[in-house]
Amino acid sequence: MKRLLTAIAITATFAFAPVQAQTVDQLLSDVKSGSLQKSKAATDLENRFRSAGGGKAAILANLKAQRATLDARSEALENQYAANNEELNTIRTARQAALGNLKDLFGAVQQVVGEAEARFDTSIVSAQYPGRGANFDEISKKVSNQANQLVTAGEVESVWRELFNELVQQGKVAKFSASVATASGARTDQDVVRVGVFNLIGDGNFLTYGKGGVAELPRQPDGRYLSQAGDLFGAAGSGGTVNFALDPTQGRLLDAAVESPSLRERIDQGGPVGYIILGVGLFAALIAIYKIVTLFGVAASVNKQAKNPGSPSTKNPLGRVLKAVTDNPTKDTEAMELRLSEAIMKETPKLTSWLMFLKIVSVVAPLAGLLGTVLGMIETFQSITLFGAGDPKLMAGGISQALVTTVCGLVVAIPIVLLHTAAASKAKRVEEILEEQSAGMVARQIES
Amino acid sequence: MPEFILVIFEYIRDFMELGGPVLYLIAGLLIIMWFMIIERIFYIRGAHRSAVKSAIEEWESRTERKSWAAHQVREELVSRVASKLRENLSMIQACVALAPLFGLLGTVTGMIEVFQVMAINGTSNARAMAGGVSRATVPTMAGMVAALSGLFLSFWLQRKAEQEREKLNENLTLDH
Repeated sequence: MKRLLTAIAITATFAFAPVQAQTVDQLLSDVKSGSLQKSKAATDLENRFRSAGGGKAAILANLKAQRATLDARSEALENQYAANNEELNTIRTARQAALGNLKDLFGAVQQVVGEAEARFDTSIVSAQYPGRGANFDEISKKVSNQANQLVTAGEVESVWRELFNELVQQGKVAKFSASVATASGARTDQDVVRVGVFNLIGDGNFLTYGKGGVAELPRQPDGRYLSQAGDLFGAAGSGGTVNFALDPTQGRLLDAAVESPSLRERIDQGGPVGYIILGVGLFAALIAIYKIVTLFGVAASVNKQAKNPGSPSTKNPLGRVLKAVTDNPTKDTEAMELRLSEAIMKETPKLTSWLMFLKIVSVVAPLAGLLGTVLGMIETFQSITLFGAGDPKLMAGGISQALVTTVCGLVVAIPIVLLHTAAASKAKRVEEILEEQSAGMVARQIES
Repeated sequence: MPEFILVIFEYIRDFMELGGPVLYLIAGLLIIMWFMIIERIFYIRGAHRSAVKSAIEEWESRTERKSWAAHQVREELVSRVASKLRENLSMIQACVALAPLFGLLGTVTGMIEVFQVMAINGTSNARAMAGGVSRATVPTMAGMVAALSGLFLSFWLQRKAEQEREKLNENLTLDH
């Protein structure tokens, strides 16, 4: 218990001591006294050295003798080195002379080996034959005089064999097993089909080959190419013929396809304006379809009624108009006309309801697209003022918003115009029948 | 003769590839529009004549043509013929109005393609951008041509419908 208390007391002093010394003046005086102590220590050391006195001369003489012997040895070694160097040079010259024409060959071999190495790194054939070209590094060193060995005829031949293999594999569709990194990050052993040196496909999807081995493309191309890949995967080895779109650039086109945004991403590029346009368009399309369906029904029943005006039914507008007159017949034509027009007035708003909304949407949608265009351009110019016009990629966001909103506006406006026209012409037809033909039907009935 | 057709077919196919998918929409619109125009012309030349004739016959077979009832019947006859005559006309006009909009759609989608090529290849590759540019310009031209080809006939059909209505109005005389 006591020990514990002292320990706490010591920690407390340690903890508080720096705090106590923390005024600037105190610090300055501390530094001054510290430097005084230091110079005092140096003088002490000097005095101790002086007082040590004799016995040093003997050590000095001993060390000097040692230095002399070492100097002599160094000179001897230097001479040896020069002699060796000269000998090496003569040997080198002799070897150069002996190599003669082989030097040109080695140059060619080195170039080919370098190119082949780079090529094999990215070629998908390496996925099928891992480790080919493993000795290429060594060969490259040997032919470039970095290793103290001559390259053997067998090694040169192996380069040629591997190149020839690559050539042969270009024309082959082969199926083999490989370890594939899936999009989720896991590694699985699965069958893989290689199409020449161009494409690598797994079970219905495209794969890439690189430094990390075979990997699934993070985003697959369009479905129609995928189904072709699936067909080819199924047919590989059976000797049949299937259509397949191959990437002759050995992967660059596929990379571009992966970079190109999907429909969903394109819509997202439009931003809030794009969503609003599409939302309003969807709403308008639903209303237009509802209007067209109901108007076609109404028109059909009105046509049926027009053929049989004698027995008006209340289930269609024309029937209701006719009924309003025939229910209480009168000889006064003016009163009859008034009753007719009153009945027609009741029917028309039902026919034309929502049509104005559709018309407005079809006009406003391209305008909203234009609004999005202008907003996008403002964004673009803002990024130009910030970053300059040097990098087109920085401006891309604003420009794609500008273009996508315009597309949204048009995509909404075009079908709505068509649907509105169809609905409006049907409504107009029924109105015409009510306004211009119902009176005639009544007149005929009175006559008969 | 088949070779000649083949050459035309190839020309059309090349044109379609140059202009991109929007051209198919414009082609569809154009076909529908011309189908309706031709249908209208045949109607005016054929079925319309017999409709007018039967309307006049019905009118002439009436015993009296001066009362309120006769007026209403006359109006009904004219309206029936006229409304048949005006069928599809508003659709044709909508098609004429939509053709340039389709062209604009092609322009914008083509421009998107151009900017995409720029995003991948940078601005240095003018050759790669040319594909998008032609997809931007060709549909615009096609849309304009489609609109112009229908514009004249749609006006003519409308005037013709009004003329025919007037003519029928005059033929159903009240004075005997």
